[in-house]
Amino acid sequence: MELGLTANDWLLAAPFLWLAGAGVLVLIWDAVRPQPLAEGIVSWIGLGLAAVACLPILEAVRTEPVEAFSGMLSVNVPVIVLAILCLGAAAFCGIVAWRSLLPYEGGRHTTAFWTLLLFSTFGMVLTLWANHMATLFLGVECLSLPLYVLVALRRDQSDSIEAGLKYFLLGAFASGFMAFGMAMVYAATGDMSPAAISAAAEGSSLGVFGVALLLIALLFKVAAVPFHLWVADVYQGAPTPVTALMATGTKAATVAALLRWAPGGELMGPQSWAMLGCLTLLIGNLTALNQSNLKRMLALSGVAHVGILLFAFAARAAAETAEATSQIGDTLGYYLVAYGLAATAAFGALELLERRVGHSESASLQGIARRQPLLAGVLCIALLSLAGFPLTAGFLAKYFVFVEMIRHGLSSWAVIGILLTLFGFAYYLKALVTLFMQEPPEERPSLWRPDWVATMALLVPTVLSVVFGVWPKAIQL
Amino acid sequence: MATALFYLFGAGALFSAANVVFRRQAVPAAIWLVTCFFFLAGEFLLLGFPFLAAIQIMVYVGAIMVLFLFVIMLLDLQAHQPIQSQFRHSIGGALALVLVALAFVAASGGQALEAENQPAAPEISALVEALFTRYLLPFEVTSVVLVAAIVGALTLGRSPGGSDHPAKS
Repeated sequence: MELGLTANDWLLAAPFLWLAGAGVLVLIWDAVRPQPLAEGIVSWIGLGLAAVACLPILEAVRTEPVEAFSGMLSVNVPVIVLAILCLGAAAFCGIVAWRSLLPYEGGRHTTAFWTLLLFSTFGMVLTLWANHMATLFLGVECLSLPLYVLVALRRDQSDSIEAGLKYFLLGAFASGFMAFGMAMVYAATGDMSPAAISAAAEGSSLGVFGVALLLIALLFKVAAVPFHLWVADVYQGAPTPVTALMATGTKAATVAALLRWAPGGELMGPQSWAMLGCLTLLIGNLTALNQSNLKRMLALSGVAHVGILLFAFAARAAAETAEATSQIGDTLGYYLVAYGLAATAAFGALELLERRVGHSESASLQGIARRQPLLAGVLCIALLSLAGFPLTAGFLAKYFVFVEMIRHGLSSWAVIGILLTLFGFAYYLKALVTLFMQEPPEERPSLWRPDWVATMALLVPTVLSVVFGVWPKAIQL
Repeated sequence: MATALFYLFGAGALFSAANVVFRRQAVPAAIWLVTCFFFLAGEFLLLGFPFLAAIQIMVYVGAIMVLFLFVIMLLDLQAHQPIQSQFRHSIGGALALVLVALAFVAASGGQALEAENQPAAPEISALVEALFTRYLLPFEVTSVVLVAAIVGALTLGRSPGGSDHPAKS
């Protein structure tokens, strides 16, 4: 067997090398001369170079998908765009955390934060590109393990520790399901590529059982009903910059993985996917409606968004030609980018507002627009995009999904989906009313200072939400 | 003879695994886990995978179980602190057991696995070649996952607000 690496191997390895290299460099830097600013800059440069390394891959895959490492990785246009989204989300997480999370306890978690952030992003990109079960499993683990720790980083807050523990226990359980399912699929088919999934789903009951376990694990990771119960507590308890990363990067990586590894055919036909999506959308919306905490509300609205994404899976299960399937893949990619940008902006703005009022209860955020017009404006655009208001990316994303559903003969489900989406406007508008139309409470004096760097960084996803909303072609660079 | 041994080891592994779950004290439970691993290694040997059997004993019994015992002793789980269990937990456990058993019965369905899906017992050289050619990327990525896990464990192991050294209990 040939031992050398091919040109494609090096091409696809480059982002991973930059990320892992930056992570290790941060660790070494800390050992030699601890310097928070330098560690941050090294991490940002690492993330930036990884994103730049994605650009030649994007050029290479425009005509057809590229494989590398003897089929361990396989990439097409949507997964590379999503990888760039994950890298951006990680860089943004670092910028927002700079003034809040990092100085905590005298900044002694700085090195761990940057290293874990870089390794988690490494896992996200690997999950997105994995074309073999071994790579997928390692990607999901590499994504999750650092996140468990990042979620529990605020050890002076019991919420954060509780969230970390819950996420860890449930996540470890889901990983067990995943490994077990993979073993069974391999036993039934002798293959560990995505093709094994459909082969196993149509074959012996052993294979079906394995596919079901793998599906459960992935549905847990994307937080689809009935595996969504962890989301509210974990998103609320985690430090808000980390929540922003989870809502954007983790969601993009795991949904894209689900797209590649989900069974179709008789096991999960269009009706099953649509039913699952409908339940997820309904329960997400119903539970989000009653939340008094804005962070929790956004977490549960994320569950509702997974519901709409699952509708796109239904359309894909109904699609017959390869062209239609790939178009639905593009639709999903667009949806994930739109949701990721809006969620990043929303959680980022919430983090900066939290610093001023102390927490994210909507009672204390009443009328905050009078004091913080810019941040409230960013949050407003983000919420409108999440709700699916026209002229934002969120509107077009939902529109594309419903068009695909109608095109593939799922009109009645599409109507239900549209009605439930309109119902979802209720809690987004409720939040906007709280922010803009109510009298602000008396403010206690605090040591709050504006964070202009983070505010400027917030404008990037906000502006992109609007730009992609009016000019969706721009997303393909 | 081999078949009889296979079922004997299987029964032994099951018995040890049940003991791991039902023992109230942490250390005996861990020792039963060691027994379970030995029986499993025996199964691997009978199936014609001597390398896997050796790895099972060296890595799981030799390294991981020793770590388990160290952690149990560091946490100071004494004999007078048996692990508490509640009735509703046992109901959940029994339910899960029945479901998994049913699924396995359905999954095996009385049919043996097809022969072409059973890989031949590999030579160690073939194993190594696969590891460094076809599986090069997962092999290398494992090291990233391990570094991430170590950094994470060190971060959580620090005593809050205290010194930079890992928590001493």
